[in-house]
Amino acid sequence: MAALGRAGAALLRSGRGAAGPALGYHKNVVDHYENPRNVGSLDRNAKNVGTGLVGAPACGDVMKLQVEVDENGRIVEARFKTFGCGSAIASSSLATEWVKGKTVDEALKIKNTDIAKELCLPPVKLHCSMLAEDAIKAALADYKLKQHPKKEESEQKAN
Amino acid sequence: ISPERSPALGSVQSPAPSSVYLDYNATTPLAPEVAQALGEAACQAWGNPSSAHPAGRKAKELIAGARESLARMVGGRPEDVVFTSGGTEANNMVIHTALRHFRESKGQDRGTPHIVTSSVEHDSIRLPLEQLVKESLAEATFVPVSPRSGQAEVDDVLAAVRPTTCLVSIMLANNETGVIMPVSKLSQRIHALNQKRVAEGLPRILVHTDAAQMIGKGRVDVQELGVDYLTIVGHKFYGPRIGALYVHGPGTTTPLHPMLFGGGQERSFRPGTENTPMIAGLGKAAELVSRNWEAYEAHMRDVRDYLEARLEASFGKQRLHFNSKFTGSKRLCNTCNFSILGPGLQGRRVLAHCKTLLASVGAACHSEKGDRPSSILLSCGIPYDVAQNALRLSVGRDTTRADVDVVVQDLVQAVAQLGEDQAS
Repeated sequence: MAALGRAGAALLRSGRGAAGPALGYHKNVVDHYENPRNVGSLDRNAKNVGTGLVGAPACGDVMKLQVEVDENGRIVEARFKTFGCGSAIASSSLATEWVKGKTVDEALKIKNTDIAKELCLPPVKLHCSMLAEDAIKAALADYKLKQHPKKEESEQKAN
Repeated sequence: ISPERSPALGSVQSPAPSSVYLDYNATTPLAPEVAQALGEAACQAWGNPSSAHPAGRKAKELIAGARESLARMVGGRPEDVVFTSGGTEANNMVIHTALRHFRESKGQDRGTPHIVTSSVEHDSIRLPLEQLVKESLAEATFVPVSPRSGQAEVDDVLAAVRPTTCLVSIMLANNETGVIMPVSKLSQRIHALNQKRVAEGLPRILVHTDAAQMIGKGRVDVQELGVDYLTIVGHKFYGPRIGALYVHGPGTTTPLHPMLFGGGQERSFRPGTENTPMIAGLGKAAELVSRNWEAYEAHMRDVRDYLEARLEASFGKQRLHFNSKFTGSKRLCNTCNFSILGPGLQGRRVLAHCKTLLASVGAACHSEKGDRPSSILLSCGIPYDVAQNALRLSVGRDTTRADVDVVVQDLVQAVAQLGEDQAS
């Protein structure tokens, strides 16, 4: 469950397959694929780290996104690991870039449509951006839960 | 990365699926575990279940196991389950029983039995009733659904009840719109009414629900629903093409009159040498549902909601009408019935121009109807020209968001194509 690094990219560049379609990945996607930002892990047991794990291997897409939030509610660090296609990797990589420096509430406003637009994702890859949005929300929900565990419990019981 | 290298990247991508099946309300494939159970039974338990020897007993055990699975799935007891050839037979049995029960009840000349049902039922309820009415053997009221909720409202159903009413049959979830009917509330009211009726010497009203579309997509519990009969249809929940009828205490608490007479199988409720492989498969499918229905429901709802969001994003709110969204009623987790508004965009035409999407405009058994819109949508108050353009997409347990992206893209190109054809 890791973004393929330079080795993987080199493998792909070694000319596998002859006549492919003329359409290729957009350069923004390729950039994140070749130069992924923030790959890795944070300590999921730390109180100020929120971890979101979304997707399913059966669907071919799994994303883990983690955020570290400071005492002012601002995201200071983010990491991701993704099992999926180039568009999925790029979407989650971009997500970690965008959440850094934002407050929790600001980060919740990030929409999949923004990610898709930035990466110029083709229609058949829009679900990757959706999953990245889900990952951000899941990470932030986990963080919030860790700050107020009792409160969340009673809210859930009230539902 | 330079353009010449892009093809290399492109070739690593998995190819887009050649077809995406989104017609799971019409039928479902066998789950792998079901196919395995079915195949094993066919090869290893082919004895006659009524035979005393081991070959027969093996089959008999499989059938007993399947019966328990089915009972567990709906929250009933094994003795409440009768295997049938499918939903059509089960529905016909209920109507047949209600009529026999009415005729044989004590009390002189009660008149013609009356049955209340909804205007959006499956043909296997509607047509037997229409036939009985034609032959003057029964009277029937088809309660129209509310155009606001898409439901057969409890008050409307009760208002249709007469002294001669012997059966109320309302489907649990509609196959075209996905609307879930208020069966629990309805049976509570009927039970209360029955107590008064018995005191007045009026016939008991039996309560039936056709749960074909609901099983595997939401909670189905006969205690909660409070029904006397519930129809189970295998090929809607990744099982084989047979079914079963749940009856609350058949022959004791609740009447059940056979339509077929023969060798005594199924306690003479439904004789005929048992179809062991299919029954084994049905039991396995029921097991899967009991274990996983919540996960199935959550997944299908997620994918369906994503589909609706993508449709809205691609066509715009103005151009789209969701025929399955009603206020005040719940709907199936997997069904999306919608129309792309505009001339020349009849559902069948759009589907014919799709390259990967496999879906329908309504019930599969009505697909030869030409361009006439679904009577079910019309009776839900959907305008004629909107109903003509209706498409019914129903997702399955394995449908992914990636599939949705492919399908939406396909619909966009189909509509664009039709737009060009219109213009030229």
